[in-house]
Amino acid sequence: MTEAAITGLSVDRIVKDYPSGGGVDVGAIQFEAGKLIALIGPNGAGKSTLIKALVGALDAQINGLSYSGTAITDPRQRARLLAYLSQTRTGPALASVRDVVALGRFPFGGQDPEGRVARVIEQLGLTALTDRRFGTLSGGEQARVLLGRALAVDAPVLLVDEPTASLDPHYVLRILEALRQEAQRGRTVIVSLHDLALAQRYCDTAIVLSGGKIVAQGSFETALTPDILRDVFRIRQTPNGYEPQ
Amino acid sequence: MIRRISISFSLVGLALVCLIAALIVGPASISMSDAVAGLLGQADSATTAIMREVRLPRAIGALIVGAGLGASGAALQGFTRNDLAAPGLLGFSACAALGAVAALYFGLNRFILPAAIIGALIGAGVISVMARRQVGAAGLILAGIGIGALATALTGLLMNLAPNPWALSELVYWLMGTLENVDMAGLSVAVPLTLIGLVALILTGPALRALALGEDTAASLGVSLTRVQTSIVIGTALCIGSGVALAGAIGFVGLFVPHIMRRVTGPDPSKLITSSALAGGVFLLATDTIARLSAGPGTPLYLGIVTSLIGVPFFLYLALRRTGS
Repeated sequence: MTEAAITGLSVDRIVKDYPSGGGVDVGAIQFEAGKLIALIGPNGAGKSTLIKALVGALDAQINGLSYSGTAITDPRQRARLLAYLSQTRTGPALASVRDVVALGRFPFGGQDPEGRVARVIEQLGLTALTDRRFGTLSGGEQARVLLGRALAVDAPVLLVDEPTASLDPHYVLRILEALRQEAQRGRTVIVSLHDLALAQRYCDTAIVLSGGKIVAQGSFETALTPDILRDVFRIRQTPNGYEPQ
Repeated sequence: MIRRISISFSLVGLALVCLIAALIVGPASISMSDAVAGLLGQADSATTAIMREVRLPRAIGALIVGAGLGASGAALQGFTRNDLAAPGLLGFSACAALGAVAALYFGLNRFILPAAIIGALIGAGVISVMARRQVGAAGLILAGIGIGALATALTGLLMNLAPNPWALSELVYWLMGTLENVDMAGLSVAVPLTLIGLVALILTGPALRALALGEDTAASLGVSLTRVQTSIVIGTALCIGSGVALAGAIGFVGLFVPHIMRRVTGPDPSKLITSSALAGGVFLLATDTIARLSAGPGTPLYLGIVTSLIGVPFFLYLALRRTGS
């Protein structure tokens, strides 16, 4: 593959050490544009660490981070290219839904010439909530507002850390549908998930992390072999789903 | 936008009304026209001296000390994402007071201001490092109480070792918080330093807005947490250090002024820091004027005591509301 042919996010190496363990050390990865990519692995495999390192939320060593052949060097450029949705649903309790979504325009100095905030609010079905205070919303509503905040950046790459944690099935499916739509619009969407069945149903490809290293990647058929399931996840596949090994 | 401007205009208007009131009331009865003449240096020498060397410095002192306290409280509450954060509760004021008392104790009266700022810088630096370690709201307040208690104990030690009762009473009165000793010489240094501190704090507003989404998300949006932290530490240290050097320890203004202003201007940190600065100045000037009026001859009512008496019930209300929710 030539340099020009690469569309999407690529990185040569990411290293993050923690004194207590649980860091990551991964080599070159390509995250293809237009794909919903699942980042899977057991607890402590380094999924969150990898995502946080990519978006600049951690002081990690990153070599060769680039988007479609353009090197990403400064924080503002990175903030415009990579949008991040955190696992924790933290937001300003007293601010309105519109104001929270509009925080996604921060990398552009708050400018929103194309009315991105209004479009995202409509697209995610948040219109009725626009003037509500963030703190008065349910967990599922907050999750959607924060997704809207990440989409408001309008970045070509979206990194989402465990979006389904403590959400009921209705909201889980809505969030994953929304992420799939974003991938279909041509964005690179990377999502860490615990639920393998859900990952398989929604995502195009998988990256399997274990002990801070990538142990398998590609389509789910090639990545989730019986060996990987046994050695990494300590489960096995049955006709009805998975069961513990 | 219009609402924001009108709130700022109202606060500036209120500040002017309080300023006029503060300038014309006092133990020496001076008429409005004499007061103006005094300020312009055209009245008799006694009136001119009272206006130019007593009332005007004191009123400017109240405005600037209150503005520093209000803005610091609003910025700290935004930075720590904790509505109990305030320069007093986090021990900054006690650290600044320790610096100032140390300067007084060693007879370095000319260095009270830098000593107070260094004290506040140390307190603010320690607390901001704690805040970054995500010790949580309770951990942060506990650390602040610990640092404040240490500074208060060391201040107590210096008072204990005070060479004579006169030196001791000077320290005690000063610690109770008063604008009585504010003079133009002090203001000429403290006002510019406070203004620099206010600008540093106001400039962190947009970053604090993003920080409400959590540190990781803010960093992903391009916020430099180190830069915000440095601005907050330096900004609060300049405001609190100058304020303590001018007026001693004035408690609780940094806690309740941002709370009240949050009801008026909403939660946005940018607006809150500016409006809390204006409201803090207005509050302290009004309180000081009332305290001056209600004090008997020869027994001044110390401003720090008045603000604490107003602030403590408010603090208890906030603490109870938090435990309730």
